[in-house]
Amino acid sequence: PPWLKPCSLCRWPRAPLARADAGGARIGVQRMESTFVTAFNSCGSPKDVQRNAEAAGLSASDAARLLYSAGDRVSVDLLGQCLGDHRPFGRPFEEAAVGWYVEQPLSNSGQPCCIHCGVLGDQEGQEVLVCEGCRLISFCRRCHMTASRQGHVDKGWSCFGRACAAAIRESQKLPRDVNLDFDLKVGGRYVDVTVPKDSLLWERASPFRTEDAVMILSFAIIMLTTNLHSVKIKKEKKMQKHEFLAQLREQNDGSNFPGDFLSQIYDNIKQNEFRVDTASTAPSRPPADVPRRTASAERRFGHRRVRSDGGASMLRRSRPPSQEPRP
Amino acid sequence: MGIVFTKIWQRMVSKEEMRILMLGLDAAGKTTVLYKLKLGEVVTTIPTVGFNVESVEYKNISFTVWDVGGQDKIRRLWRYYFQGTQGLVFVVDSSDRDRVEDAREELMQVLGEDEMRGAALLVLANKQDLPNAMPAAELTEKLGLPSLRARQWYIQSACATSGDGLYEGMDWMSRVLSCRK
Repeated sequence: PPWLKPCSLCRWPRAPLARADAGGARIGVQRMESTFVTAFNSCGSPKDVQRNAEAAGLSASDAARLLYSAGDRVSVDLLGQCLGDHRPFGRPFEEAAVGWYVEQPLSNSGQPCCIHCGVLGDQEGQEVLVCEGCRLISFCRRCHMTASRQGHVDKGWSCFGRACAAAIRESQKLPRDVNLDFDLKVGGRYVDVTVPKDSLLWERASPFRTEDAVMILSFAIIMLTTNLHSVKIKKEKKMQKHEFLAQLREQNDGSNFPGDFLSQIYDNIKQNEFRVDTASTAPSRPPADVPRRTASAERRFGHRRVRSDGGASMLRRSRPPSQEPRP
Repeated sequence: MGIVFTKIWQRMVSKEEMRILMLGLDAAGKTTVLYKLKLGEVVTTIPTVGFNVESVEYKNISFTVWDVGGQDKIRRLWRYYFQGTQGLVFVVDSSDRDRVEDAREELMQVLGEDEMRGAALLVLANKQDLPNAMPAAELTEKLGLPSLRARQWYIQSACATSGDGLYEGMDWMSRVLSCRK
């Protein structure tokens, strides 16, 4: 059949277009998915991938969603190249990377902070504005201009954003495959609004804009782990969620990381300490038992000092034995 | 009269808490300095991932020292840790003549941060035991310290493995910080 003719670029059979018939749509999508993923894995560069997606009749964000849902069958190296390389995927990925905000992070006191930059309500004279549609997601005065790009509604509008229904679903733990009915106040009277289930797709290709952003976020996660789980940091000095968001403000190639993405990372790290297998790379840690004090240390540092023996033991260890330890 | 005694007594027993940030290029010896101060011992260190934090008690000041690793990309993440920092300990590898210019740039960038405006600066000219180490006077010039205005700074030649100079540096820091209170 004609659709089995191999693709001129990647030499894999081209998939049938899934959108054509309504009855066999599910099977069509599944087949397209697996063929596309196989074809994706055999491509050499992000440019090939894009041509391949175009040939299969997929937009870049559709392609991204397919690859995302395919999980571990996708060649990670190539996906990384696609996400990191601005040129072929730049624009569509950038749009998708904005993401939709469906979960509101709270500060430790239970106060909502700006989902985009982590500013708390009372700081810097900024108050937090709530999305007019779902009344769940908060933005600060500076970020609420971008609310519509995250699928929410600015002040002054009475309608739903694209992500509002998804946010309500998340907050009430509703199933994803039913329509939602709302009473929405428009011009002083209530109007019945039905949000169909298929308008709630939550798409996000990648939260990262550049490779640097990946590195910065990875490092921020390591630092957050130390901060939250080190016993040497006092409880009141631990980083809070809104501070984590604020710390990473404008670190994603000049823009922010998706707020609910960071919020989930924070919760994850807080619950499960991030550990690596230290068996092979363990440094020689400072000994847990501090040696006894001696008279010389007593003299030198008064009653409150940390050095245990004035450094004499250390001098012996780090200098050649011929030298006398310093007085 | 009672108030005077109370104040004197408080000065004697109270432990002030100071937040100190320790910075420097990689392999300058920050972690060695920190654990030398904390434990009086030289520990074998590996390049710092994340950071080390220790509270070091000296004189009657409890220093919380944040020893941060880091390349220039990561440095922007330190915004949070700059807040409320009273002192900066900048550790320099005196024997590394090639990278002293990098060290100067990093230092100036950090001092340019808004949160570091009031922080006292202590430069530790580390690794003085190495044969081709620059003396403190030469480092002062190369780091551009004389051009600093409106900042208390001090340079101390040090050797972290033997402990020379570390306590002199901390003496200066505690003196400056307790004067401010």
